Amino acid sequence: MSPNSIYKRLKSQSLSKVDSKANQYRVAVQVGHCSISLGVNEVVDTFITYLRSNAYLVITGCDGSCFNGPQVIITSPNGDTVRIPHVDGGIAIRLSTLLEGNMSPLKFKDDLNGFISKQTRVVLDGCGELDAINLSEYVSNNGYYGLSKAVSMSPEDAIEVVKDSGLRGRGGAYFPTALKWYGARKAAGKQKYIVVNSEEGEPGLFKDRHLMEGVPHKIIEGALIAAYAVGASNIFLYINAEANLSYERMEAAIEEIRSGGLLENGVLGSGWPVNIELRRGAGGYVCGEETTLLNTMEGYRREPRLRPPFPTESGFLDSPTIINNAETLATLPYIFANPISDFKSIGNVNHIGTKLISMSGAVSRRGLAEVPFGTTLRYIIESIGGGLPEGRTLQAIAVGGPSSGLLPPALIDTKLVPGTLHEAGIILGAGGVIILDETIPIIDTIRHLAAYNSVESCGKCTPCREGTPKLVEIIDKFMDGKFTQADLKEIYNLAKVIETSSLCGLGQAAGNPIFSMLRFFSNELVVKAE
Amino acid sequence: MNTTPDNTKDSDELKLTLKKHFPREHSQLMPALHYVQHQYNHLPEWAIETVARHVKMPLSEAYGAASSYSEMRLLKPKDHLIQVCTGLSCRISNSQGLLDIAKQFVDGKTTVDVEETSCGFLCSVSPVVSLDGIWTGKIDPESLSRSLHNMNTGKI
Repeated sequence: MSPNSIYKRLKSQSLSKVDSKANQYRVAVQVGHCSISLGVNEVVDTFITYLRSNAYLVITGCDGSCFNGPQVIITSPNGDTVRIPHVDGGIAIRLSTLLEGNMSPLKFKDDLNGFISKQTRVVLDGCGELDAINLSEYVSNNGYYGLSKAVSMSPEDAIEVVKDSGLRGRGGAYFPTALKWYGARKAAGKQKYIVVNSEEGEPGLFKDRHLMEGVPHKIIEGALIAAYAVGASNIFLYINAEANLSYERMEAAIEEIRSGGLLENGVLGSGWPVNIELRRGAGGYVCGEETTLLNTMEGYRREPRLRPPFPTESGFLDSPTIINNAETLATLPYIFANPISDFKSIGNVNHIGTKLISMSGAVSRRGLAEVPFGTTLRYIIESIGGGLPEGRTLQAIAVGGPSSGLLPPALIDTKLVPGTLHEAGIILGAGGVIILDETIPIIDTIRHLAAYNSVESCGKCTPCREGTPKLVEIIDKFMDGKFTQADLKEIYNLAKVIETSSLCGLGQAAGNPIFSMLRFFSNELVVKAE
Repeated sequence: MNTTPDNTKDSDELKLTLKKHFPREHSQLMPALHYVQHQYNHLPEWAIETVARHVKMPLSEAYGAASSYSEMRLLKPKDHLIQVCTGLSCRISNSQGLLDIAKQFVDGKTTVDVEETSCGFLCSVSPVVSLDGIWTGKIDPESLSRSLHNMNTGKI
């Protein structure tokens, strides 16, 4: 059977499975690592005990509105949907009682205030709504349709679609995805590998975890498309050592597609065989860097490798290897399932598509949001995030994690685009946005970032190993108010040396917090000195 | 690093497990070490040695790799671990106050450790503290003190 007819059969089976529950209340509990920390497990246990036969329980991931957690979405047989925030065991009992009497809990008011409607949800579409693991739910919502289209084309044509889409890597480097794929496709060697990079070890990020917990099938679908296009027969899902729930969900989702027959006779019957394996990270910011990740996978120290050769030519076990971020791969199902013009109409000509933003700090609605490239920080913080809580004043915005710097409030209209946001060391990175108020002095925050980089330096390159602790020492002088003009010059020069003479991104970007401090917050230093 | 008589039985069991579940390849080092850490809550020296032999690596290299990863524990941890996240989001939500409470609690105790963590990846529900690997979001000083008291009385 052709991939198309296999998909059609799968879809009709899925739809009938989902339809068989249509006359029941659907109680979807959003269980993510975020809501677990807020006690959602008690809510799940309560529903298991109290829901009657006219209702069924579904476990989803968090839809990004972590500020509302633990959150439950109830759908009535007539299709009405109610979102209930901050549910605990007691509320779950009351809800169960209401449903038992066939009464919809319409009195609850959600307090999203447009948190979701103001986003452009491509990757997050379905996240927090669909059963996280269940194959039928995913397929009945068009899941794996993109894959069926991709494997119906030639691998070259599939890469051409990705090229046309303008997709770039979402892990922070924004390298054109198709270019990477071409490289590995053309590279000699029979054995090729796809590695899904879900290391996500950067402080302030929680996007990959949300995707793995909420829409694991999207990542798998994207990885299967990549494997087919590149000609790889092995996929490694590389998951952060601490992200246990992510690991469980990915493992369960793989089991679903195996038992659902998606990998029989190759991917969707295409004859292209693919083996999927899970791997765990072992800790460290630098482990997300792709050559370091390869070292971890091969059993070496956490250190980057020299490039060239690039992983696309010689990666895992010297074979051509594609390392793509989970978010990048999770974008592919949309690209393939819809007319290419749909994806290209998001963002602008130079920066196509959306980006997941992990938003936290001093903001009313903290969570994960998806916005088109070109969106301003102001829109994210004020419209989606609801601004700063009352009585708190914006002091700086930390965009892009410890490899980036701090933006002053005056630059809140900065547009988020791939790569550099400001020449003074501000990059978008993987999309961490932390809103800082006046609770902690700026210089303290800069020291925190610099100290983090010095601890995480793997030690391979001398300028990074020796230089990053020295940066912290000089900042300490600033904090004690005992610094001279010479120190200002020295910290700049040292940061420049580390930037230009380090092998990997960690060292190359370790100066960024310093550059942003010197550029935007030098007044603070003077005040401190006096 | 020697295999002492005390852990000969453990070592034999580990050898069997490795033989059964882990191919004898360099690339199996980390999966095997993860397995050992899961079993023993840390990486005992004799176990690193057993794993190194199994994946055909010099012990020095296996040890070098194991010691370079922050999630790999070479020392046996204490019975309880308190982790206080002091990332940027938690710092502006009083993580220092929480850390002080935890440090005060641990002071003088031999079975509990306290650790600062650079990020618990729960920034959207900060501040966060983990007790024995279980994170609590939006935690305030009172509820932390309560949880620590429960830990003290053996309730967790």
